[in-house]
Amino acid sequence: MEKKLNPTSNNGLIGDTCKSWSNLPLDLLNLVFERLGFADFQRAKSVCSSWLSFSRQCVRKNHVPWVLLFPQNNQTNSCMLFNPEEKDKLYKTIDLGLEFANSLCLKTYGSWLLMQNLQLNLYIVNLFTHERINLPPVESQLGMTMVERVLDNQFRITSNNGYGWKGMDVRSPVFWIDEKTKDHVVLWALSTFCVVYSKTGDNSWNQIPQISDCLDMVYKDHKLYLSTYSGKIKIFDFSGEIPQQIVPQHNCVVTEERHILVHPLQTYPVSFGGLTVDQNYSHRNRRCPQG
Amino acid sequence: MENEKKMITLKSSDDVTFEVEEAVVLESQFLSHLVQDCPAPEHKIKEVTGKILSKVVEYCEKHVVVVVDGGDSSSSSGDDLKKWDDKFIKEMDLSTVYDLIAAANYLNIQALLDLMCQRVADVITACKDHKEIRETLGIVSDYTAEEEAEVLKENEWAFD
Repeated sequence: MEKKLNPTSNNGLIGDTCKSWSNLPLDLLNLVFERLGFADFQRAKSVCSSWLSFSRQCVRKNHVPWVLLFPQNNQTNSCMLFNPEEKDKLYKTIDLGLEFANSLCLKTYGSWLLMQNLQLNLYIVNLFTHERINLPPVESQLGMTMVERVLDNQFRITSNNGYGWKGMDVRSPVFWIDEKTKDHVVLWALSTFCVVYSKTGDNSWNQIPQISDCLDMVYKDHKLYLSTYSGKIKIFDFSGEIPQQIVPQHNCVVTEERHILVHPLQTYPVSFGGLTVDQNYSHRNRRCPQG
Repeated sequence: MENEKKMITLKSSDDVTFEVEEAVVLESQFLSHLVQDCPAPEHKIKEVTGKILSKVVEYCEKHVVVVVDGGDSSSSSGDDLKKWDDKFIKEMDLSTVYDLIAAANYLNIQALLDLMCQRVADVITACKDHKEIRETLGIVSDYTAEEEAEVLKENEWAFD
């Protein structure tokens, strides 16, 4: 495949220019950075400001998932990281604070974690940069299902037909965040009442009333794929202001491999519950590789 | 045996000429387009100096020969080529690597670009910290002391 990089980006004569590795054109620096192991990539950030600003835009691929160990005792608020590619080596994150140590990790996305604190509120935090985005309080809901905080961490949920339930159940949470703009979407099922979402800048959770029996969800390329207890698949497009339900032209089923099959000849290998979600279109194979 | 190999002359910015077989030129997407579009016997590459162009020609000639001789590019010739690449790189200073990245990009020789970028990545990996990376690549830090402390704090987990 032809991969022509912009030849005009080279100013002046090759072989006779003032060489500065910190000013290497970004497309070329990317070719170097994508060959670095994750820890080396982090080290390279400290070299100079142009490398740092570039590394924030650099999309790295082929990551082997790391093992993340959460704070186990009261002595530390740091996480330990283990890269299966580097044996005998443990990395330690910065002190992430007491609230982090007391929070529960619900989901990961790259180096971002979706956390739930002792008040059962949600926030997303970057493991390395410590950037944090607080999400609306769980009782702050826009929709027909009422959520009331009775005590510090106790809730009463009342549906529009008067059915009441005590507790807070954040099910199948998924989220997406843009590394550069920090635009994000967080979604979860409020028990079996409805699915709620919060986008960048929202002050409350928006309820999607069409879904009451959510079993599992995957968010990929601004689309929410959702399976229900009754075996149905629903798809919502989140690229606009308000999520739009998409009615696929063909039946959707969940395969035994837990992939959503949208069209008999076009599979979406989206994995439930895993750390990574792959999406490949396959026109030939009815079965698709494990995500 | 008289093989009718078409020869092409490449001329660098400083008028150093290289006579190469057409197959060598085809290693570069940029040059193969140039040769197709303009069937002149000589092509001036005014963006690349003779010193760098000689390295490019050396690389392309080696890679053409091995593929042609090996026919189905057997594993032994692949190993030889890799050994040759390793030697080619080891004898090269980083300033030349820099220029070859720019030249391989400009002339669109993907394999050479990959080889050179891997070399830089290996150099960075071999450094124990950011200071050594700076020293090796001759980068002058533009961070203030406070900025550097902040960046280091953010990434300190990655250092031993």
